[in-house]
Amino acid sequence: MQVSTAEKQFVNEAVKSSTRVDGRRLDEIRETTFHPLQTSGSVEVCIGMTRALACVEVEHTLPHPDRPSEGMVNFQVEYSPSANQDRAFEFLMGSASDQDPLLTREVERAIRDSRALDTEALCILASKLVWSLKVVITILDHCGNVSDVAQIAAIAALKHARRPDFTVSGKEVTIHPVTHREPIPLPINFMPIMTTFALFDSGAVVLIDPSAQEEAAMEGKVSVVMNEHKEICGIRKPGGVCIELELLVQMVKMAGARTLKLAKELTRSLSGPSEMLQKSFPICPDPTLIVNSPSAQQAEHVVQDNGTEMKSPGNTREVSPPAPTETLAASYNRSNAPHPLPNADTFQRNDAEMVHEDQSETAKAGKGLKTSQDSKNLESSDSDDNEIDEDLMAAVISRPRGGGGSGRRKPK
Amino acid sequence: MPSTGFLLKVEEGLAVFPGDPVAKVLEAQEGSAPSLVRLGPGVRRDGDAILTMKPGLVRVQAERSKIWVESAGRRYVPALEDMVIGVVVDRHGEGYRVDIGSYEAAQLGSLSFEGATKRNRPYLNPGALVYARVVSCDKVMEPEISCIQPGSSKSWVSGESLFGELTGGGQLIKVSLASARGLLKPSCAVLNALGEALPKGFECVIGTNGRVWVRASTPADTVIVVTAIRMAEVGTLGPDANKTIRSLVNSKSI
Repeated sequence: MQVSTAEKQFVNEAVKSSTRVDGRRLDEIRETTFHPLQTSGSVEVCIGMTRALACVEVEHTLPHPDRPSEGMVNFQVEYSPSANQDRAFEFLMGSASDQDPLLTREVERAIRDSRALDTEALCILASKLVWSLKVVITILDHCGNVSDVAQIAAIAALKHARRPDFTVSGKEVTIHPVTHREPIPLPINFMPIMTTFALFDSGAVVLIDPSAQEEAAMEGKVSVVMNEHKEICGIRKPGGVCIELELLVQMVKMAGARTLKLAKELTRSLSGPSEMLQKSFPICPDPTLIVNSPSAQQAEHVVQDNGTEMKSPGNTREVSPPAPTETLAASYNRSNAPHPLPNADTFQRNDAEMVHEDQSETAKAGKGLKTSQDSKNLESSDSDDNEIDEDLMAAVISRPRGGGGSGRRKPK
Repeated sequence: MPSTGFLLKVEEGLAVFPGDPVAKVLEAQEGSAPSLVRLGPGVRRDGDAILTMKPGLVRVQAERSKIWVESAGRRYVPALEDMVIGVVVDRHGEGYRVDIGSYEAAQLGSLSFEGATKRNRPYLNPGALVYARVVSCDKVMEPEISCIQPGSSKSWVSGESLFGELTGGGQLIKVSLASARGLLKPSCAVLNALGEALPKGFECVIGTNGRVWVRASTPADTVIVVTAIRMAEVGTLGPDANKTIRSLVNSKSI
């Protein structure tokens, strides 16, 4: 990175007098905004001038042989060539690629490894067919704290994404195009949100949400991932100066307060447009589906149990072996008759609920119900948490500290 | 009016598209006095015509018979005689490689400092900031910069020379090329207002490659200057720059 020593020196000097290079307070976070796009699963997130766009691709594939009943989630963080002039310079010199494996791993840890996503609920037919999610996060503008932006964009996109509905009858899986049935939100247990702190002056000064210059000058960083229930999903401290436990506790408190605020903001900004999206902007379905269903009465994607072959509905179905897997055994009290679906407005949520009840052994209700519960929980907890939230912030701010700046502490 | 030569034919502030002819070289030389026409960024010579290479506003500097096109981009393309701020990336036997924001790092010879000799020359570390001027630029070769100011004999040792390493801390910010040129104008509202509002003053170096180096008496003051320049760039300073900046100074210094 082409950051001059003068800039680093200035950041360090400024931080010691509790000033930040962009005029923020030490514990002040840049404004965070969410811009859901018309396509489901695409959300642009801005923290100040740092921007990232996350897109979720939903596909159905064979599961991994080691995990036959779990869906797949993959992340990929890329830099747009124009994201950062300095990076573009390195790119030209051939020392940087457009992908960032470290950042990808950070996002992966925060979302997949914290089990925020119920991968078992992404199973369609155990050891035959699962949903595969690919989250591509593109950094559009790099003005510091890309890890937060990338992670928040990823979870926002997953929250915004929808998968097509499907029904399982016998050993046949029917995937309904989104034009026929309303697509279903992904099984997200909670929303992990990352908050990054930069350490200066041997750990005596802590900044929240560092800018690019501060990142270049910092002596270490701590990323705290928390969810909207104020549970810690992970803490990452890649090297740098040592910190004391009480400082970490303080960071966790600040991260918690920010997470609550962002989670609320995220749910609010995603709720409006996604409704509109489902009703009037059906997502383009898999092209094969359109080809296979010219009659359009029942566009079906038939997957035979013995070979995961796609067949158009007109074809004769092979006789399938009579032993469905356990997970599927329960979903067959439903009639095998395909549903004529004249338009996208009439959809049957119950189908999806049943399938999911059976497959994910969590006794939770189906997707539709679950999300509404989730959002209720969130709202109610928000109203309770408002006071706690403020208390926390107050506690953080009123903590006795040396030096004067909030978040500043004298080293022992 | 020999001194204004070709510039009479050019309308200052004219909006142009790439390929628009803005002046004729022959007409420029007609007035005989300025036989030299300086082409700044965004214009090139094609036969006896001067054509624009990018969309923007035509700017002319009559006394130096210089012409260039200004736009709000941030990508710097080196042009002769531009004064730029660069960051030393690397040093090698004969000099330094300096990142000036162009497509390729510029070369700065280790003796390209006023009064530098083989025994007595500045030593720059990677990461150092340099203020220099572009002395050679070509579409196929690395640009070359130099810290020698023609007509000045102030040695780099005395620290009085215009060009050279920017030392003593200070903050570097990146602004658009057009606003950097705007800051260079004597009538620049922000800098004038800042000069009035900050009693202890500040130091400011503006590179036409969109980099601005600021140093004030305290970090807090520097941050005020930086914030004001940024506000001026995006247009949030409002019609009364003096008033906005004064309130900015008051709010930060408490």
